[in-house]
Amino acid sequence: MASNPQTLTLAQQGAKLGRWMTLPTQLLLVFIFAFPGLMIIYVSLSWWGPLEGVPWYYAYESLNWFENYIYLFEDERLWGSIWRTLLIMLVVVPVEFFLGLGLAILFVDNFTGKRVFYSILLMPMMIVPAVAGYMFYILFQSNGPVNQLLSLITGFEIDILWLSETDNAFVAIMIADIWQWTPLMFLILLAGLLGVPEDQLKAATLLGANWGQKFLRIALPKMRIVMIIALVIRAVEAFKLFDVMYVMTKGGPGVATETISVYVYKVTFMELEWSYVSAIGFAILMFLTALGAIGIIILSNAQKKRLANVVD
Amino acid sequence: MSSIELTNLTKRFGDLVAVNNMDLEIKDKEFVALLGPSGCGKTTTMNMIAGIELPSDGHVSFDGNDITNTPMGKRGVGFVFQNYAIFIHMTVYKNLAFGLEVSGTPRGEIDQKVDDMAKLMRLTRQLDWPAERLSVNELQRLAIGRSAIVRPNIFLLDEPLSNLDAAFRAEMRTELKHLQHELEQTMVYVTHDQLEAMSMADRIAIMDMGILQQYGSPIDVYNRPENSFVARFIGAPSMNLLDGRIVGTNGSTKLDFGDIGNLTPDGNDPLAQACQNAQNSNVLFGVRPEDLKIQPSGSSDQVLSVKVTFIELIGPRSIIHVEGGGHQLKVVSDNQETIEIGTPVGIAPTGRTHLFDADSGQRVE
Amino acid sequence: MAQLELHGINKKYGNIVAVEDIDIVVPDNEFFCIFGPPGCGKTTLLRLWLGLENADSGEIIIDGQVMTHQPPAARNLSMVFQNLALFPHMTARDNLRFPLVERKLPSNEVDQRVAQVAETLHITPLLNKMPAHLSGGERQRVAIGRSLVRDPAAYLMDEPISALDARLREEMRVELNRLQRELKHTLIYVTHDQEEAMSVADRMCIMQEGKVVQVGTPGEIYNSPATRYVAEFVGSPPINLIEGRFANGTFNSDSPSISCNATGSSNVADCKAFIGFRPEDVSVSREPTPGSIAAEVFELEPLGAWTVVDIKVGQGVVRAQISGQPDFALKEPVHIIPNLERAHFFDVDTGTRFASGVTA
Repeated sequence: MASNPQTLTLAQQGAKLGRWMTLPTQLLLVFIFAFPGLMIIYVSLSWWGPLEGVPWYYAYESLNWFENYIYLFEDERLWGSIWRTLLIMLVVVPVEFFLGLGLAILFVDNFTGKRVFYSILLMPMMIVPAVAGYMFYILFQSNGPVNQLLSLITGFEIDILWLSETDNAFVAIMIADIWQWTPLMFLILLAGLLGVPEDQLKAATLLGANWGQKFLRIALPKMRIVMIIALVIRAVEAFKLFDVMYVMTKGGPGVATETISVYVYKVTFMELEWSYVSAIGFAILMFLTALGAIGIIILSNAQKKRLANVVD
Repeated sequence: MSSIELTNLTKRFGDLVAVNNMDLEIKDKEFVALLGPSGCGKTTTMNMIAGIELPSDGHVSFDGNDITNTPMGKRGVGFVFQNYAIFIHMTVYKNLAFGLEVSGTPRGEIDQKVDDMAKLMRLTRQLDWPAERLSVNELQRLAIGRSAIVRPNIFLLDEPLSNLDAAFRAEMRTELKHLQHELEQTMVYVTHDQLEAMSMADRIAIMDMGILQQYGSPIDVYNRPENSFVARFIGAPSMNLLDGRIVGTNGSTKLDFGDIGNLTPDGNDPLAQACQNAQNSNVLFGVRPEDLKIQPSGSSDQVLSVKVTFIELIGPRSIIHVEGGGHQLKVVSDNQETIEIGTPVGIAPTGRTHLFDADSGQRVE
Repeated sequence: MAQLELHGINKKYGNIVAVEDIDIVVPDNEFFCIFGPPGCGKTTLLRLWLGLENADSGEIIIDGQVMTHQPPAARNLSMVFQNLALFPHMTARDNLRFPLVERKLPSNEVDQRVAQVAETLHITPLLNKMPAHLSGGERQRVAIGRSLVRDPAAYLMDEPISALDARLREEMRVELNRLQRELKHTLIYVTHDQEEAMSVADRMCIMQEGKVVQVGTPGEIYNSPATRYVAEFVGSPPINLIEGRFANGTFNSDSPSISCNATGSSNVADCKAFIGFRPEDVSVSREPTPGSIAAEVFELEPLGAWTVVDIKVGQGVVRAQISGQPDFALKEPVHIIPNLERAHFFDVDTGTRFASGVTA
């Protein structure tokens, strides 16, 4: 059949045409991704910086191979920032997840004022993060509204130094992040919940299942993928946490709340160590790629297992 | 043991009245079909029995106990959805066991009951399969088995056969009927297919536009339709309804059909009395295709003259389509007829005939 | 107007044989039905004819020309799919005009053609309506009309009315037959509904697992099924099949006990055999008559014009279809006589029919 070029089926002809039509996009993607990627790798292998007085492509003049990468392992400030980033991530992502899930469950049923609450709930997400940061910066001043409110409620004079004590600053930043990003979690999980077939829930009810049984046995299995997606999105976002916290604490007091993004920012724009920053950037990219690959392998294995059950 | 009574049951969706003031009583262990065209309110009625919808007005009682406000999980009804609503992320076993597991039945008992039900539904081989692997026919049996396993007293089925292919549908009709005998449950069955209703139900409730049109045994509604809607809806091919006028006076009334002729019912025929009662009015004359006979053209005065337009041969029977004076009629013959298309023939009623008021559509006795 | 032919067609998808050794000739102006259960390869045949699939081997001829390797457009066939979708933003008229305007026909010719098709389909009064304002049956007519406005060599239809409800299907099948006679075009029609197939077709073929088992008029297929499979699939309720032994021209079965001489079977080798007789050939009575078999009523399906009675005979069930509304009760003892003049005999192993009718 292959000997006769006329015998391509419609589907095969379509596939052939499709390959040609996506070519420009593929070229563009290669350019967008490959060019800056290669540039970063190249620069990261040198001492080059903006103060050298030569354009980046002369970086080979100060080639040092892997010294930036070796330093990366000895840089305690970097490891500290990574640890802090992970800490924030590990706290805010689960809190946002459960808050979002709870809200989503509330919003599956109809109640009066649902639309109004819905709009209010989504608002934080629409606010520019830097603006949100300033909002919380003002709220958490030592004579700011948060302390005033707490004083009013408790009756004592409350004077917490929210932003200039390490532990408190962490709490303030986490509160800000949770405030801003729970709505996104809520939105994704609500979509997942609404995607659970209503007939199956009704069928379960008619078979005598209570609320919890329906949630655990019907809704949860159907939402697994959506939940994983929501968690991944938020984990990656939290890893990149920058604007809100930079506005609130600038990584301070000292370097006590410095996250990776803030650290990289400081190295880039204050210390102007661009080749070192390139090395950090590339290392993080590799690390996240590896994480993502593991995730995809786990997911596709699960998929394969499921399909094997269906096909065999 | 469970009977169902619906009293003044009404459901409004905004301005739309889906079910209008419906009264219906279903006896214990009875198989009742709710039959009607799409949008007639049959599914809404059943949803109100199950508690999936709450009535705007009126009451639902089981065994004389008002359960109008009992939530759907507490009514103890089995429900088979039109799309089956199978939990496709679970195995067949888990689906069957669901109703027992959520009520905390001991594992040994669950295994036993699932095995029995799987045997009854011919799903034993598939017990460990993920449900998404089943064919439509198997899904259908699984849906019934999953509801039947908790032994509900009342079993509701929403068009369970409409997704099946024709051959399997015929098989399932018989199977469902056996199942109902075996499970000894009150069954309510929603369908738009009169054949399903006729062949399975003990009684049929025919609905249109939210209103109950007639409630009776299949043979009752077939032999004595209360109005022209029921007459047209029950029976296949559907009843011929001819526009006609009753002319003549006491003792010598006849039915005039214009160009194709007229009928003079003889004295013993109930039709004579009906014509007597509806003198000088426009009527719909109803006669089933199987109660008409083809005769040579112009043989006696009980013959309407028409022309053959088309013949369908369906197995041993033929459906002969005839036309005349703007009327189109069907005649069913038990033979494989071979009449040339275009041949003028006579047709005469040989069995039951019906008369309906042309305006109200109500039966005239 | 064309004769459509398939010769020695084979098609596999990977290891799965979709259709095998198909030879079908549909003469000009015939309403030809392809009938079979889901998955028997009937839709594949249509796709091959249309050119949406390529055959692994064999020849496709349309109107005398070999079209085996021609693209779909060159074959000039019109296809009606199962889910007919109208463009919701266009009136019925514009929906009908669409295929012609696409082909850049002059406007007066388009109008004339649309008017003609609308007239045949009885949809002229609906032409200015939007699809949303049409009933299900009306929409179906417009959708069929849209595929009729072109003047193709032949029409191919894949279960065009199976999504409609029973009542509408009954109406539409008569309509389709009338249409085909008026349009005078070859029409190839795929369905899994035996009643529909018998009702519409001039001739039909029955498929089983990718092969054509029998071709003939609906009457021929009903009255002389070539195999047990055909006998079972055509006719509703299905034919009664009882297993027994065939030896020296005589058939014997135990439950129910039947013994008879099959006509013209003197040189048929002994074998295990089925006797098949249709439900309408079984008569049921309360009183025993010579040759009747004692039995018990098992299930009753009153359908108004006739009644289907399942009757328990020994271990087996025999189904009878009786005209009218007999007043049998469940579990009532009755006597049945199958009329074996129209019975068929099938070889259990091969499934083929080797004799029909009985002689005393």
